[in-house]
Amino acid sequence: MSGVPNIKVARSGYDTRTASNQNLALGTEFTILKIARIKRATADGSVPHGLSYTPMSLFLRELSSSPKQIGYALTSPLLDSNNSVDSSNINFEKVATGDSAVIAVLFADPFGSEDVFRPNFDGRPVLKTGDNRFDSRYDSLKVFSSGTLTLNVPEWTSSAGVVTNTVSTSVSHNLNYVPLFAPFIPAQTSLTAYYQWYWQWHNRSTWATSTEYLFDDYVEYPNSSGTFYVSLQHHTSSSSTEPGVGASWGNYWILSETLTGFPGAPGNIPDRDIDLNSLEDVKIVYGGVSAFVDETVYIYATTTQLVIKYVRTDTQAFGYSTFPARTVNLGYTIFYNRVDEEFNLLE
Amino acid sequence: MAKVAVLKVAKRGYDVRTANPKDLTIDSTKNQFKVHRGGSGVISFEAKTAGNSYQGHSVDVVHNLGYQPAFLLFMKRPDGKVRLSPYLGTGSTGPTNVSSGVARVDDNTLRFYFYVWDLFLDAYNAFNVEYKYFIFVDPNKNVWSS
Repeated sequence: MSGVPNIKVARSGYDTRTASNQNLALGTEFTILKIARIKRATADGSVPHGLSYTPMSLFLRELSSSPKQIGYALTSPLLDSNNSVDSSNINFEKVATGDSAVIAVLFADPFGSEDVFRPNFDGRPVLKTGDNRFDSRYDSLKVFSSGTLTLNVPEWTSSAGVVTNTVSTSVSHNLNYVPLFAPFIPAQTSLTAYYQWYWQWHNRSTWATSTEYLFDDYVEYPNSSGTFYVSLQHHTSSSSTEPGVGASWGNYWILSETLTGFPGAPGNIPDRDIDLNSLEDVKIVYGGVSAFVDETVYIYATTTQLVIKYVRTDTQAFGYSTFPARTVNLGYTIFYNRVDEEFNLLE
Repeated sequence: MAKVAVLKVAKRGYDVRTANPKDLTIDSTKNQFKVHRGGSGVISFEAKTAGNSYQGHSVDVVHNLGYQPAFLLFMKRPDGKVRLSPYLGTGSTGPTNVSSGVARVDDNTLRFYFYVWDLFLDAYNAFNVEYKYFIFVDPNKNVWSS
């Protein structure tokens, strides 16, 4: 953007004049989301947010207040919450059973095209741009640390009187408060249910040429043959990618037999590393859920750690079940922003 | 170590010289999440009869970052309420059942889905949903930190 003053700061060791955007700490040419308020609620209800327009927000579940365990709420009345914001209120709807509270992170950024609300900061200096991109009166997401957290889940077989198995891992942040973190994925997900729905979403029936296929789309090919192929990468099909036949089909498809339980037993979790970041793209197609065995993953922050907890449950309706070993990966970013303490920068 | 100028702004009530990073709104010594691209739009759902109620729409956003970015997608349903995606509606009509999801098509494109997923809903009239998204410069994994 020529002719417009811009403040840029690069990360240590990089030249601001030449650094890629990814290596900038700060730049007023970018929109910086403006955190205006943290609000905690222990019961359903609506709270005026103090803005004259509809803003955006994140909602988190306080799974436990002592010790504090906080993770994101998946927005669905079917599952754990149905929280929202509108033009007047923060709507806390359906605080999940067993949770101690819901926490709203309210942005001053409007959903529509309105100007960002400008609080009066008693004459103190303010750094802001005139186009709503940047305003130093609001909090920004500031990165504390980032990395990949891996949980190796060993094989486990239930036994008499032992129906649940829990495995966990964590990374320490030692901030002594509960921070915001990314990815913005649910604190609690039944992978058993998720993958059942996921495979139904990705069922593309039989294969056809000149058709777009995404990662994990699957086809039965030839039609009604009982042979399934899973897409390894996004592509548009052609004769060379025809499953099992085309010259380069192996670059684009994998036989389903190599993915245990897929797709003949919907709901099965694929026998490969589980990328928890992919839970950002939850999509549901109507279907039931296998109720006899369950694998649920929890992702939450405490005052000292970011935690992955993996819980396996066997109803033992059909005897003792063996759960396979799994490797679960989470690419995470921990922010400096504190989420377990209310504040309001709109006042 | 040479002196380096820094830019810091504290929340009201805090001294910028002594404040903990959590009490700074801006701190140039830290990586602030920066929006690479934001946008919004409207999706029009057509009227459907009972038992024939599924419909889906998608929007491709080409960001051309060459890597998987962090992002936020919000959806406003006809009731005026804004929620973060993914959102899983479970109502008995299209406007209350409408849901949203995302696919990472490749390292340069995000695909947003808006859909009514249940085939067995009541009939519903045409309606619109609005969406707004922010795609960050910062990747969804392995972000730099100071």
